[in-house]
Amino acid sequence: MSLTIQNIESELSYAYLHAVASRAGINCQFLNRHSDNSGVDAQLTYQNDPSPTSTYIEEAIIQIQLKATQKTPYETSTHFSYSFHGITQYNDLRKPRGSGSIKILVVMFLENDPKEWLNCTQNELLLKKASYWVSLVGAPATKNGSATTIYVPKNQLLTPDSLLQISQDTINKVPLIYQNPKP
Amino acid sequence: MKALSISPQELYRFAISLGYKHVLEAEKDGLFVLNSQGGTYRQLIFPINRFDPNFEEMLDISLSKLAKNLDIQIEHLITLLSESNDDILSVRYFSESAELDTLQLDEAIDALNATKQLILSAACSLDHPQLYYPKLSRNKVDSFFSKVRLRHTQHGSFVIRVSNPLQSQPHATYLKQSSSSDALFGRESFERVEDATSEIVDHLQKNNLETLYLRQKKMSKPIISYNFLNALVEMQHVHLDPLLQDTNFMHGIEMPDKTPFELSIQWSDIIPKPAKNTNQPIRLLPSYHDGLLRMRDYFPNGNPSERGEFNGTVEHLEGKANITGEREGEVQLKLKVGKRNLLVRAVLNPTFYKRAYEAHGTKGAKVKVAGVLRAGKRLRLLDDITKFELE
Repeated sequence: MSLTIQNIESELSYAYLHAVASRAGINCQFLNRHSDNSGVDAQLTYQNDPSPTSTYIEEAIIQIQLKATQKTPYETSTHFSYSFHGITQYNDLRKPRGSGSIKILVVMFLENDPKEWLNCTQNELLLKKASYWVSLVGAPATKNGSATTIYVPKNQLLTPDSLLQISQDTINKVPLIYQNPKP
Repeated sequence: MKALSISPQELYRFAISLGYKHVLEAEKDGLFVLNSQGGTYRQLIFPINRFDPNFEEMLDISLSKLAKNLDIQIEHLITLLSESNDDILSVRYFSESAELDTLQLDEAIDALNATKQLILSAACSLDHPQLYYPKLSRNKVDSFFSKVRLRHTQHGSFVIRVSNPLQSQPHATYLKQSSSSDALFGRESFERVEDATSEIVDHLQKNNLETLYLRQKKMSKPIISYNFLNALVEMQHVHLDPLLQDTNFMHGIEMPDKTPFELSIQWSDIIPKPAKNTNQPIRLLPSYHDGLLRMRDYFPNGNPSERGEFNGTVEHLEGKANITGEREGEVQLKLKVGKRNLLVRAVLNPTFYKRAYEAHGTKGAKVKVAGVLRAGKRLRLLDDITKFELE
């Protein structure tokens, strides 16, 4: 095997994103994944059809940091918890971006057993289980040294429609703010 | 070169020069928004103020989009942007059949010196026009030249790139700032390089070598000097890598002895571009070399000259018919100078040429000429001819 398990997790999370973005008609470009300094693994470009009532922003850039895990997450009724490693990148994701762009986190939750991750038949390609997106803008600062827990909303499944909505919100300057689950 | 050295105004101007349209509405939000008609990415968005907390990231995204649209590496784009405030004069040595990756060091140094001589000659011709400059220096010329920069070369050919900075203040607003007098004199000097080289090549192509000198001589403010021509001659001394020549010879490809080069200027639009902005490089081919030498040797070169009367014979006629159909132009004479018989070139008007023609056609005929005998690198030149008679 030429890829480690972590590499396979990573590649599958890219594959998931690319498939969903393509289905939504959004250009997906992978960046240099092996130097994590910028914290951006992929960049999506959405082009709005200009209309007389729309804002002057016609193109949204969605920068994505990808994570994947095969561990079963803790969950509440509304959120999954995820241990985010890399405080520098966490703090970067907390910052609001300039007009026309946004940076979000996409976490892929895989099955525990790698054999279940991907199956191909004549009828379908099945990739388990799912990716969720979350904006960390406004997330609380942390005093931790290496990792912090974040909460990923269960209703923010990464789908073609949700990507299109994120794109439109970016163009219309609708802020996407992080919210901790209510106790 | 780091992206952060690029100001919002530089990126704005560069994008506008590529045809991007400015969306005025965005300015109220402190943003430059620029739209293009085509390309993978249609819109550049970045803050007007470089101290905006999002400037670095938005600049990065915009540069990345622009590089993708132009199909170039982002590092190359950053270089282009950093040059947008400068006029760039390029001397590009190339080979039609191979990539030129190296030059002999001696020849590279000579080419750099020749480039310097070219620019200084052009600047001097603006400041104090004359046919020969014993010294290529004056306050105004030196002041402008001290700001000229040598830039990176490029892969596949050998390029000397020098720039004349036009913007005196870094990070100025996108409204065009007035440039310093050095910068404007520099712009005129670069224009002079282009005009003079074009005229020289035009005369070479039409084989009107002496005409160029005669025209410059008549002008109260000549634009071409011995120094300028000598710079072009020196630039032609660059040879192709002998290994490359041998390899091509083995494959039956004949290579010229000298390397062709082309001269081009990229004008900054920080001040209005010259009216004659053709964007076409001027090529100097190896085949021009002999003509350039001859053309150069017409001009006074600072060597001692001798005024007098001389006897001799007409050895060779090389004149051409002018627009009225009369023949005029260059002849070769053998003149007795002191104890020596010297081969000398002379450029004759139609009256003198007629006499030279008669002398040439009459066996044993001798002529008496009066003029200024100038030292030349090959043949000497008889200039300012006042008498040409058959004896």
